[in-house]
Amino acid sequence: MSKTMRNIFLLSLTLFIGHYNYVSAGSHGFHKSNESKEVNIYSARKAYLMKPLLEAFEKDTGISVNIISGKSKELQNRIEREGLNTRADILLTVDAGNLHIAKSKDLLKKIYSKKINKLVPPYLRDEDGYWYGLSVRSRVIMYNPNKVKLSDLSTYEDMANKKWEGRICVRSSGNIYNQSLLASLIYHLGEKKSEEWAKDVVKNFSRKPKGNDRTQMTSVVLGKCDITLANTYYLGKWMSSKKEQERKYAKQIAVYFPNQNGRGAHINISGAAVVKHSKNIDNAIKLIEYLASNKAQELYAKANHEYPIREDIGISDIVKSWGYPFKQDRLSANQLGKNNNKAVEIFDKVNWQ
Amino acid sequence: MFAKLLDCKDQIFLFLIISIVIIPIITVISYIFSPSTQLWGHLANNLLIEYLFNTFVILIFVGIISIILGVSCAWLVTMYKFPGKDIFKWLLVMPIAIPTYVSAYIYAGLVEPSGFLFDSIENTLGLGKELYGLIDLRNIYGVIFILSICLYPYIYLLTYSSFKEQSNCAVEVGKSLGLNKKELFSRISIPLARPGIIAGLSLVMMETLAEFGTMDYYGISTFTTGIYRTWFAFGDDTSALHLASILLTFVFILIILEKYSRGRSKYTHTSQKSKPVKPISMSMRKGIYAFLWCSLISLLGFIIPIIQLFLWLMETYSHLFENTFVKIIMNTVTIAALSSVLIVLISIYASYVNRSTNNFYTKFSLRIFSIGYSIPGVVIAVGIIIPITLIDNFQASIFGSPIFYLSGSFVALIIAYLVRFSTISFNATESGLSKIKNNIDLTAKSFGFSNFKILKNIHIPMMKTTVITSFILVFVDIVKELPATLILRPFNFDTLAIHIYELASSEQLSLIASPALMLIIIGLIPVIILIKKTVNDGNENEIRD
Repeated sequence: MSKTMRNIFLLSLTLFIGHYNYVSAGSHGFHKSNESKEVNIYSARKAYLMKPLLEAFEKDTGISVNIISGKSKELQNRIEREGLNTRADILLTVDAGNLHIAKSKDLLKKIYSKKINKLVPPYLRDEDGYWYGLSVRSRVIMYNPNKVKLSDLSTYEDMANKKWEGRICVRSSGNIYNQSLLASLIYHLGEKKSEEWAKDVVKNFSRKPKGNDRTQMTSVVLGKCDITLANTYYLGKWMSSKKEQERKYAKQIAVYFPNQNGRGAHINISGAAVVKHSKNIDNAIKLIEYLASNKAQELYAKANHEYPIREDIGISDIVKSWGYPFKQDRLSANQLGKNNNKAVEIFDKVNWQ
Repeated sequence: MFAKLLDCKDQIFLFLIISIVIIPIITVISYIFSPSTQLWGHLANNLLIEYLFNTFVILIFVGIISIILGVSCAWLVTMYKFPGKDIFKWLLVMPIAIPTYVSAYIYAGLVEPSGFLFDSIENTLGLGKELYGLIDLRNIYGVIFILSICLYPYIYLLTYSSFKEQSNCAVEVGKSLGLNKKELFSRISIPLARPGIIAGLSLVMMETLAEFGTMDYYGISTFTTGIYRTWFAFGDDTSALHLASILLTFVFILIILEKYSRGRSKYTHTSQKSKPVKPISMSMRKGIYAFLWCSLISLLGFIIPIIQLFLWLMETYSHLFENTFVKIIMNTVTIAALSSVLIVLISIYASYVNRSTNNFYTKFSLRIFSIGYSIPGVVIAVGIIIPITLIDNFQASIFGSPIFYLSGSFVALIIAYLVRFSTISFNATESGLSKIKNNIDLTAKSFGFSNFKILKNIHIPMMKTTVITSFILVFVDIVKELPATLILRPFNFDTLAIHIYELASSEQLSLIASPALMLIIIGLIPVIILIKKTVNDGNENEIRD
């Protein structure tokens, strides 16, 4: 009996140690910052989406990448709590709003890399060099083609029009995507007009905000409302889904890029930043450079049906089918972060739940 | 005299193990009088009431519904003959193999597009639109429903054994005193089964208090999700720990209540002879009602979720063969096997020391072992992070940067499992050891065997089954554990539970099929053992006759 137990123990220990060396080589042992061959990522993007790219990077550079995924706020707080002793080198997250918050909490490190600055267009990165956009995502109007005439659609501003009364469903204002969209309106229209806009849009709601972007899209397909605000990649996920039902639904909803005759459709980024107390700064910069390179960009954007940061890079057929290139609102992503607080205030004031 | 036989080092070793378990608990308790932060004011004014209200409403309703489900099924299955009874006997235990959060994800998906309930209604009647939005489980009623149908088996199992063990004599005496069937149930069987029901109920309540995944997904703020949010989203450690200490107080109250009610009601047979209960035949109509009732519960608790998972699996089975998935299974199995072996060895050792010393200090410190299981994983995790961060900072203050990072290491994770799951194996090994007579130890001592040798060569082989059973129980619980793993896991280390959590939180419900079925298959192993022990006890009774 004790032999069996011992064997189980030894077997699992061996497996574990072998595996453990594999899963976290170096990240626990002794290491000196200047010669380490690793980089640690705290990622708000799901680890399994990132894996293929990171493996390619490991192969090319010999630097091993460790990743742990979680929600953006959780990861930021973890970095804050771990302070000087954090093991995070890179914070990978979505939305300029989140990156701006991390910057203002003093969690990030200013970096300078000629290569990155060449690869990432200025409007997609922080003006002070604290964070860098790695993919572009657009928040657009999605509508039910059976119920909405294309000629009725025009701009975000138009969603405040009375003709949409009881026809709009949208997710809650706690969500950063909505906060960033309102932040862009604040920049373009000013606070007062944006507040009026939000107030009128709330009047047009078909129901109280609930669920995520997918929930809103399902509601549009099922006729609970006619238009909604959603990020385009959610439709991409539906179109490429393994499930017949989702592919069927994807055919019953359409994308409309608003403000094409004006400033362009609202865009946001997913991006990366080097953590202030990173111990592997050089490797971290190398990884960001890699993720911004032509080779990685195509995969990075395709993995989640997003747009690459430069227009010369190929996109998937699914993404192309909605119309590409379209006119993007090239407002500096910095502004989205800067106006975030004001946006949250306005949402609270107009009772956009 | 026994104490002298034991070496001093055994006591020290035991002390070390106990302190590993007790430090996280003390850390949390020490925050009960913590100075209030700014956020705490906001929490106390706005959210605390909501946490309290939700937690208690859920506790009370889940408690009541699980008692109704568990006791009624156990009563029907033990006392009556009706169609399908022999299948229901074990089918009703099955929901215990499905982690509550998995059921929560499945039921949420069921009434949404691509759930089979939705699809079949949409495709046959075209009423999908009406269903969507009509049934919304993501609210407090949904949570109560999910927890009740997942947790009632605890009450069912324990009540079942109580009913079975009741001697027929008691029932016959009741009959001879002119009690009718209703009165027999309410005045004889239920009071006799009360310790079983209460033990089951306290398990249900502790699981409910500790539940994280379901509350998180259905968006209900209770203590566990509140602690998680306060800590991780608001970044206010002090308030989170303060919340945790309040939750811990409730847990302690529950433990005391359970001990108290158990201690006062001991019913034993006066004679060794106990005739087993003979099931009575039911009338046709009543038999059909009993059949329908048990079918409904097994359908909701087990069959529907399994069908949905298989349907999703057919769409997404390719996921099974992906490289990442294989790694996730490897991670899960290795960490669970390693931790469970450690935990079982430690509990064998601890119960051995306890048996041979028998002093107040050991007794008291071992009590600590037995509360770990009732402490929610979220609470244990935050109780571990604090001391571990301290140690890391201490290392940094000496060496510049920590030589061995404890935070985000496997050590932290294994300690969490040790705190939470030692109880299970400790209880088992203690009762296993108690069956071995003390004379054997003394004899072995007189031959000059060391304690270690006695344990290794005599005790462990003698309680082989106990050791294996407790290994399996701990293993399965670790595999299913979600919140502590979520908080403490190291880099690149996703387990099945984490994978399911992440897929569900990115709304890819159909992809959970392969990991969830894997979890359920693993979870079925102890259930089958349990069923063999509890439900198929016909032979045992014959022997007693």
